[in-house]
Amino acid sequence: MIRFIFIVLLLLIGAAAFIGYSSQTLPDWYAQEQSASDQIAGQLSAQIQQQGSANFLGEKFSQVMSGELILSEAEFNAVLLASLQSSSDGRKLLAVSDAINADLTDQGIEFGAVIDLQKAAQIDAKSKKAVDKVVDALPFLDKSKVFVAVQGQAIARQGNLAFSDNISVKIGSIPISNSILKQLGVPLHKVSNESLPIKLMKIKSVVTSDDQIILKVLPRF
Amino acid sequence: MFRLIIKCVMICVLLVAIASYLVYLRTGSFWVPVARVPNISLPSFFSFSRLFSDDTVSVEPVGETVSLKNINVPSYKWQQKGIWHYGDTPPQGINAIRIDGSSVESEKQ
Repeated sequence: MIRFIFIVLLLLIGAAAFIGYSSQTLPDWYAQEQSASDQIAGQLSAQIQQQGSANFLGEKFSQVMSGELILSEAEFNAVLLASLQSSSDGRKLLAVSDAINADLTDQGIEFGAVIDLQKAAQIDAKSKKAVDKVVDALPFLDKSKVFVAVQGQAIARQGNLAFSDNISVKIGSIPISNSILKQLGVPLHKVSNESLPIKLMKIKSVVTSDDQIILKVLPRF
Repeated sequence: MFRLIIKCVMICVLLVAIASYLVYLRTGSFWVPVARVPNISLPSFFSFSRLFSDDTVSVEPVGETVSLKNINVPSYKWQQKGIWHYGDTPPQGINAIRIDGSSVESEKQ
C-alpha cells in the first residue's frame, strides 16, 4: 500500500515538475542580450546588404504597387514590429514583452512573445490583477518571463491582418489545442475578432508558406 | 479485500484533489458554483400571486458594443493558381469555402 502511494506521489511530482519546466521554456530564437527590434533589424540589414538597398526598396515598392507583396520571415517580422508600434494595443504588447517573433509555417503563423510578468504587473491595477491570477493558477512560474504563442491561419480581415478562429496557444513549450481552449472557456471569438492594421497597406488576402508570406495588397498612403 | 478498498479510496481522493485543482484554475475557487442564484427572497419569488400574474419581465436590450464584439466576421479560403488564399472578401466569380473553425464549411460564389 505504501509503495502504491509512493509511486502515485512520485508520478504527481514528476508531472508537476514537467509542467513547471515546460511552461518556463523560452524559445530558441530568444536571446536575452538583444532586444526584439535589434534582432529583427540585424536580420533585415544582412538581407538588404546582400541585395543592395536600392534594389531592395525598389523591388518592395513595385510589389506593393502591383498588388502582391512577397515577404521573407525577417521582412515580415520588421513589418509586423512597425505595425505593432503604430497601434495602441501593439504598443501595450511591446511594452510588456522582451521579444516578439512571427514564425512562418505551412499551417499559418506562430506569433510568439516573451512576456515579462514583472513589466506586465507594473502597467496598471487591472494588469497586476491578471498577472496575480496567472501566478496563482500556475504557482510553479517564477514570476519572470513566459513565452506565449498563438498559432493559426493568418487571414485578411477588413483590410487588416488577423487570425482565423481555429487557433491554438503555446505556453512555454506546452501546446494547448483549440478544443482544450474551448473547453476551458477561453473566449476565442475575442482573439479572432482582433486584427492588426499593417502600415501603408490594406490587405486583401494572405498566403503563407514555410519561408515566405504573400500578401495581396492595396497601397494605403 | 481491505487493501482493495483502501486503494479505491486513495484513488478517489486523488481524483477529487485533481478535479478540485482544475475547478480552481477555471473558477478561482475550490468549489464548483452549481448555480449563481441572485440574492432574492424565494417565498416571495414563488408566491401564488406572482406565479399566476400576467406581468411580463422586461429584458434590457443588448448594447451595440456587446453585440458587435460577439459577431464573428466570416472568413473564407479560395484557390487561385493552385495556391490557397485566406481573407474575408474573396474575388468575384471564385468558389470560396467559409472557414469558421475546423468543422463548419459552406460555399460562397
